[in-house]
Amino acid sequence: MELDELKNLWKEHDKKLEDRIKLNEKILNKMNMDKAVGEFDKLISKSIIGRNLALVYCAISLIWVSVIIEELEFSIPAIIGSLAMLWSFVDHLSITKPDYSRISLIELQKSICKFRIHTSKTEKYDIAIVLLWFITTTPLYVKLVCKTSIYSNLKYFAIFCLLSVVISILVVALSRKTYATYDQKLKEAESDLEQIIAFEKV
Amino acid sequence: MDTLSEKDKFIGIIKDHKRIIYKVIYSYCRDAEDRKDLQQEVIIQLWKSLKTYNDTYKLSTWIYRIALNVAISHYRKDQKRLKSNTSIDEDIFRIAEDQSDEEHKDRTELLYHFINQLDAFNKAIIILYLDDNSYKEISEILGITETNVGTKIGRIKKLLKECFSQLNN
Repeated sequence: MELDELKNLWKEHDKKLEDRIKLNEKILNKMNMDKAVGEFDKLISKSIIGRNLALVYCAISLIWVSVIIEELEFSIPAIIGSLAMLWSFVDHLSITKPDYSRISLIELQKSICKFRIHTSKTEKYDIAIVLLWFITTTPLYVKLVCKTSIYSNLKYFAIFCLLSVVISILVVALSRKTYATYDQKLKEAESDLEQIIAFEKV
Repeated sequence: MDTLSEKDKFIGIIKDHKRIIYKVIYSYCRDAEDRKDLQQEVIIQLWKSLKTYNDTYKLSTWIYRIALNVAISHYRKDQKRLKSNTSIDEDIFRIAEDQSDEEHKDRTELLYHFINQLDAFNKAIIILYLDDNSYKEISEILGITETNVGTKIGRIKKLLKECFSQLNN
């Protein structure tokens, strides 16, 4: 069979489809399409929310720091935590929603692969940054809200250390499992990108 | 334009181009359950993109671009056996049983069998080519040069010959 024969077959099939396909208008009218979100858009939106939250966390730390800037045992760790959050925000600035109607298939698929590569690479650091922010900001929070210094109250300090250790262990334990998934996702996205680049070449 | 008439206009567009959307969906997704997911994704993206539709593009080109973009993304996900949650239980496109003779059914099956042998991008090229899109239109939708489109169609022709000679053997 030649491609032209296939074309005739396709046309024949196309003609018959006209009578066979019925659009389910009832379901289209029922669908709340303004609120509906596509699968990939959901993923991107989640990442954008996470990125913007990093800026919010950074701002929270800095506002609290400004209140007790002179107490260096609280302010310096909190500044480090907020800078880590700021770095995370800047690092994710490249995330944008894809426009399915304007960009070509190759460009869109490339941007999806690049997004997957980016998130797979940075997910590891994001967990560590949240952990660092929590550990550096909690003493500051307790000082401001409870008017107590964790460092001078042995009971509070012990609870804080215990909580930090438990959270760290949990995060590391979970990370070990998820790191393998991230690496797998990263490999898949990189291989997809290689395929697209190879396809672009004549 | 209020939301209701906007939706009516949208349904009209989908009705006029139902064959394009159906063929893209059917070529990328043979599983009936997955197809419901893909139908929904394509319709959502078309609705969302309608607000930014630029009428310097042919409506059919615009629909191909969105449907293929969504289908390829879905196809890659589907290849990795990832399931998504579908919020609809019914098909957006209902297809009546094929009343054609057995020969036509067999030939159509053969047609999709061949399309299924191709990777995601070559599948897009063959769908666009079979639907009589020019090399220029195909190159615009895919984002490759016209020369490249020509080369790839040449390769598909070769593949087609090999595929059918294997079937004949």
